[in-house]
Amino acid sequence: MCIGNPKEILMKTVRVLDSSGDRVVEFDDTRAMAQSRAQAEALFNRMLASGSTAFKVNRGHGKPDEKVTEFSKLENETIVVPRVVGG
Amino acid sequence: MIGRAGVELPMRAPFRQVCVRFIRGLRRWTGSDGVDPAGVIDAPVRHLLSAQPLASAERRARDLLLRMLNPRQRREFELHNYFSVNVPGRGRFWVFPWRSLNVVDPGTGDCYCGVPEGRLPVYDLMLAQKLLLENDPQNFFCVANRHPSFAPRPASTITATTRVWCVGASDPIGPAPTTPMRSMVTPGASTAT
Repeated sequence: MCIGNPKEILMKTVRVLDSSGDRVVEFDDTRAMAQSRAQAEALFNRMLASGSTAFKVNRGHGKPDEKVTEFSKLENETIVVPRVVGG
Repeated sequence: MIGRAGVELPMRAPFRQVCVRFIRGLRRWTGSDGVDPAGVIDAPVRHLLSAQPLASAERRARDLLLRMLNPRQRREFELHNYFSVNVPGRGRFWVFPWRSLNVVDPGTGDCYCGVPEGRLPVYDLMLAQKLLLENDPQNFFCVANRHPSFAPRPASTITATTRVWCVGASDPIGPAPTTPMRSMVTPGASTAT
């Protein structure tokens, strides 16, 4: 039975758009990645508190992108867009 | 005999030396001459002299955008360098690779300008707008500035039946909007018939 690479399945990515293109934080739910997870959570909460918006993307199985506001509901890839202002 | 070369040579030599010294100093300043760049990394002119960081950011942003577009949008973007998004409840909008007024309602010609804070690469800007328009349009339209009077050509040369954007039959975006842009209609055009 082929179950694929478990690391690949569990790994989550948070991308924050910035002047370098995007800042990436990767983490999973294992104990070894606890520090990365905490860093990602802090970054996620800080960005949302400052008016940013986060979207779940590349969700697989044809699921559309979706806005997300809780760190616990993140899926495999999330893009955080800084606060939008009128240009 | 004093020839032309004889007059210019004494002037050229010091000028050339000055140029060489200037370029050496410039290299030292930007850290591209074997000098540790740590000391000059924050120099305000660095990005002007070595465009590498910006270029790499744009490339990175473009790669990410291409990965996030759906197949139709990716095809449009590769062909025309812009793409269209379906906004729930508002119809189709076009997103162009400009930094301002780059979200266009092809039906009305209205242009919207809503950009993320910070100096993002233009492709990140387009990606942010795509995500917002498709998934959180209220947030975008609440803050975006709207310019209803956008007109790519002088209004006097355009009639009500003019197609705003020349989109061919084979264009993946589909036919041009049947409703003319509001700003493209000359004042007397609607009553001419």
